[in-house]
Amino acid sequence: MNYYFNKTVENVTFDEVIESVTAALTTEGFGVLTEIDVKATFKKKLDVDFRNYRILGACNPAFAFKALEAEDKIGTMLPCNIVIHQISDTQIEIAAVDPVASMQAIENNNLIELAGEIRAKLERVIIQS
Amino acid sequence: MLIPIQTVMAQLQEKYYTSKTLNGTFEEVTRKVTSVLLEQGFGVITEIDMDVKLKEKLDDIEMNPYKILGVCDPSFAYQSIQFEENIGLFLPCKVLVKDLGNGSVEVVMVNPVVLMSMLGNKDLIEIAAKVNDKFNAALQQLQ
Repeated sequence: MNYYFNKTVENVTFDEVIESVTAALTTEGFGVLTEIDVKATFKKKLDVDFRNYRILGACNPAFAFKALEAEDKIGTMLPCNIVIHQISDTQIEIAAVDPVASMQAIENNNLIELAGEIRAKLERVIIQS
Repeated sequence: MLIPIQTVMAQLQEKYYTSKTLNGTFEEVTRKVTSVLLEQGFGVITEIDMDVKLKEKLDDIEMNPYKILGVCDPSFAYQSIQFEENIGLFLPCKVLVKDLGNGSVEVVMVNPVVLMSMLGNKDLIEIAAKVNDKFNAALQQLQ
């Protein structure tokens, strides 16, 4: 068991991958609530050069609300992150957090089923992207 | 390989968060949290008003103000990413500001040690422990 699922895409631009991930997220009912350009942040704050690396924070409102009702501090694990980063000149990795793995940190049986449903959706997002 | 979290937590005896409840308005407490985090080197890089977002999308729900702050110390983030390239899946660290009603506001900080222990990477656990110490210091300063 790993804490994420992923795939590598080739010969597409970084922006195209961001677009296709965002579209796949929308299809599965997720909105993108946060977007962090890690490369730009490291340049600005640390003056270091880093590869293309983007963190999208995705949220499915109905599931998020159910999760918050089951566990009021679940916000510490929200939104669900998808990382898109350049691993070579022609290859880009897309990875989504596995909510079933991170929910194990919280001993709450009501969350397990929800996390399983979200996992299935995020897996489809990775396949479709 | 992923270490079963139950094993990790039994060893750690730790919860996945630490929290403190204060008296004051939601806005006041949000300002104070932001300021004590900044003193510890953490900037707020994302901010989600979860109650507002959910009310926009879902009909007939009731929810008190609930803010999710994404906080980050860039140098810790940079170190972490060298050890584990997909660590961005857990970044930034989350701090919650929750309105409990009747003038009480709860501040909740994630305990990164619990999640990083699950990954079983000693270097990451060390960084997470430093972050957690700073979060605890920020929480103590909060009054």
